[in-house]
Amino acid sequence: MQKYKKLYCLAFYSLIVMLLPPSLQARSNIDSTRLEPISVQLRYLHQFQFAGFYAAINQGYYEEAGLDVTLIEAKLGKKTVDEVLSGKAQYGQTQTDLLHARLQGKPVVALAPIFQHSPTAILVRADSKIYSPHDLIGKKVMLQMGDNSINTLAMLHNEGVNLSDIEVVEQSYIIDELVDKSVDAMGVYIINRPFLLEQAGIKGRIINPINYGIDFYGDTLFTTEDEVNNHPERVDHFLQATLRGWQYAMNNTNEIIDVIIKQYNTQESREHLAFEAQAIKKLMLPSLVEIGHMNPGRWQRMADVFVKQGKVPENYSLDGFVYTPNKPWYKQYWGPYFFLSLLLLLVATIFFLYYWQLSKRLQRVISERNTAEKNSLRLGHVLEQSSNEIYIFDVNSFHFIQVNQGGRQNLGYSMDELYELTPADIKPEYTLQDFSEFISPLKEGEQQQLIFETIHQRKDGSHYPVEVRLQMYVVPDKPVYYAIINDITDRKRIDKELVEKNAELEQFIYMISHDLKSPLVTVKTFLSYLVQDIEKADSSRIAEDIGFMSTATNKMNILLDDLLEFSRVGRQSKNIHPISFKQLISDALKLTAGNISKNKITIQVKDLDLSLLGDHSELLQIWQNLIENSIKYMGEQTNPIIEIGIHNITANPTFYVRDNGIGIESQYHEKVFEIFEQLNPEIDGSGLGLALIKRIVELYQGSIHVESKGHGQGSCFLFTLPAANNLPLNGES
Amino acid sequence: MEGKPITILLVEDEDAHAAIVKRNFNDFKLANKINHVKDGQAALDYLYQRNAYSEPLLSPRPELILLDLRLPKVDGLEVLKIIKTDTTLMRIPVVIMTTSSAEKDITQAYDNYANSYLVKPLDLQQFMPMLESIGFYWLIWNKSPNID
Repeated sequence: MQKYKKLYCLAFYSLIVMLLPPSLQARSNIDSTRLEPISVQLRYLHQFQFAGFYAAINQGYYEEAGLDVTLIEAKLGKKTVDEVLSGKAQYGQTQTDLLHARLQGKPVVALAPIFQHSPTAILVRADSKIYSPHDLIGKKVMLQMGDNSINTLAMLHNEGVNLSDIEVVEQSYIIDELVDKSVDAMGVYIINRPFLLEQAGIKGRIINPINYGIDFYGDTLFTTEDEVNNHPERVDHFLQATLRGWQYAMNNTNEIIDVIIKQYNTQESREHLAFEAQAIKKLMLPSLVEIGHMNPGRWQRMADVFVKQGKVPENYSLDGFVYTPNKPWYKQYWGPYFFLSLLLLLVATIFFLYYWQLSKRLQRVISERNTAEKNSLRLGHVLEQSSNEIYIFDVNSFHFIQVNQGGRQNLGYSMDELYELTPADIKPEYTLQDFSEFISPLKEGEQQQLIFETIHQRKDGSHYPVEVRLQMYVVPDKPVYYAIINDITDRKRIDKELVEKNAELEQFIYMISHDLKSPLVTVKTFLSYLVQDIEKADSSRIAEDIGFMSTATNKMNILLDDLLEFSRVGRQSKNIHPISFKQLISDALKLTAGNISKNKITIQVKDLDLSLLGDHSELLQIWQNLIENSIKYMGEQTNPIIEIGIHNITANPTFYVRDNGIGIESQYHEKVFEIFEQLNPEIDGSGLGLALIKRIVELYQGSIHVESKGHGQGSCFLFTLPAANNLPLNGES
Repeated sequence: MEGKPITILLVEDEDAHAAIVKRNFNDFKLANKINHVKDGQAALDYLYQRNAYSEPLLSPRPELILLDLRLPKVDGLEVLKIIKTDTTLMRIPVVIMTTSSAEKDITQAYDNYANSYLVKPLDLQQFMPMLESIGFYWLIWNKSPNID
């Protein structure tokens, strides 16, 4: 930014140095003793028609321009243009004759039209029937046939009125002839004749060429080519001063009327002058058109009228007629205001650029700040609403300053209550003294962060485990401690579960390694015996060796099968379907049919009308294993019976499998469901059967237990399967 | 170096393992009397001469107990604890003989005053000398306490 600033300053000052001196020079030396004398030829006697000159003289505009201006009244028989061309005056104000003179080759130059429209028109009595040029046919019309009436003549020509159709009377400018009706119409200057008619008590009507498409410039300020070439500055100064004078005159008509009356010995009355002033205002339109505004195209069209009227040949030239200020380009249009404008523009541009840069930078800063504010606001909301607890507390008193919603909710304290407490109050493991000592490494800057686990106590006295991250927020005015608290109840619970699962897994592996190793020891050992016994040809020992080995391999086989089953439970992708209980039992009985018939067991099935929702093979395993278990532990029963049924079928179905076998002593009722637990080593089995059933039952959110009055009393396994029979028949898993 | 005939209580759920022990002791002509029980509950019944072992002549007080750890009903460690906390039984040398070489089992066994801990080798070539050593050490070299 700094480099831009320098650049702007440099540009600004160099501009002042460049532009100010010439513009000061231009206005520097006004010296009344060295005024240039010049003359202006008027077209008529002193009257308001020349108000601009009087104003410029009286307001000292000419003096400022270094000019001493003399006004020369018109003399009878002398043409304004000729007087100027002859050098008797350098400047003049005249009418359309100026253009004609130029078209005839006279070296006159139009400086500025004073009247934007020609004052020449036809005046008729308002009580006459003459409303348009056409109405003039056959009428007595007083017309001057000279250059200044050419717009009037052109109007008549354009409207198809031939001069031969009307009775043209020579112009006398005497209004009385219209008053006494000796003529019907009169070509006039509308700036004074209508006044005279009104003075005579007669209302007039004007037929104006403007209304018929002929719009000529009126009185025009002019000079000669010599003057323009030899005194270009004087021409410019004179023109500008005169136009200023007209501007002043238009704004102060009464003052100028006074001047005309007092200083120029006019014959006209104040009323007459005032009428002139009003009429001239209409022709100049100072409020609409810049005084002196000149359009070369309009001169062209005027010249064309002259051609049409046959006054000049067609191949005319207007070159050099329309004044082009002979001054530097930069002075042409804005004059002395040019540099000022340029300067202002540049200054404005510089300031604009500077402020644009500034505002761009500001906008960026603001937008960055807005974003930052928005972000920090959002962060604030997030932190306030976070379920993590966030505490801010005082470095000295340890009193809470702020505790977010998560903290207030979990602790059960309101913020007002917390203002009175310190972290030690919610940490039963710490006194305030302990806490102060514990936190001192942060205060001393020895540590950036303290991470520790402790217990928090809620308002209601309950405890929960937390992990605390404690830091000091160091700001110069008021450092604070802040703590982010993580309620680790869930983590602790999961940790505990994990420990349990791990222990279970360890136990599992331990059991497997023992139970697999044990038959292996048998096989390997008896294999060695077998070798020896074969050498000795001890047939009874050989049979014994093979028997032990066979038993061991069977045992291993069963164990491996059951392990596979066990690992599948709850791991295999499930195929949940509605299953009829009747069907399930029927399937289980089919699978165990061989052992049932071999052991001559009676099967009794009760209360079968129920539909279950679950995985068929999983559910089937429960009943199949229980039936097989019952068969295995039937003992010496002579009338073995297995009863399968459901208690409480409507409300909370409890399934049971009852037998009248050897039963289970009460101390083993829980142990039987433990993994690898086998009560009777005499019976083939891995000790996984009931553990497997228990696992399936638990998958279906149920529980299982055994009822037995003891040895020889039979057993009854009872279990529930809430997730299987509480689900609607067509429900999803 | 002839030892007097002594009684050994073998607590072993595997018939095959029991057979190995018996064969070895017989082969070395060391074991005068090996009483075999198959689970922890039976071992305690034998020692306290109750239930199936209530006839004292059939369940003489052993001079040595060979105890497996993985046992049905009442596991070996539990049996060990009961023996070593009962003043009438605690002097009987208890040799743990199991397949487990788990650190946990070994420490727990010694913590509960097991007199020795042996891991059953997979190989008979090692199993036989081990059993032989047990026989020599405990039945011949070792001076047993008066257990009556």
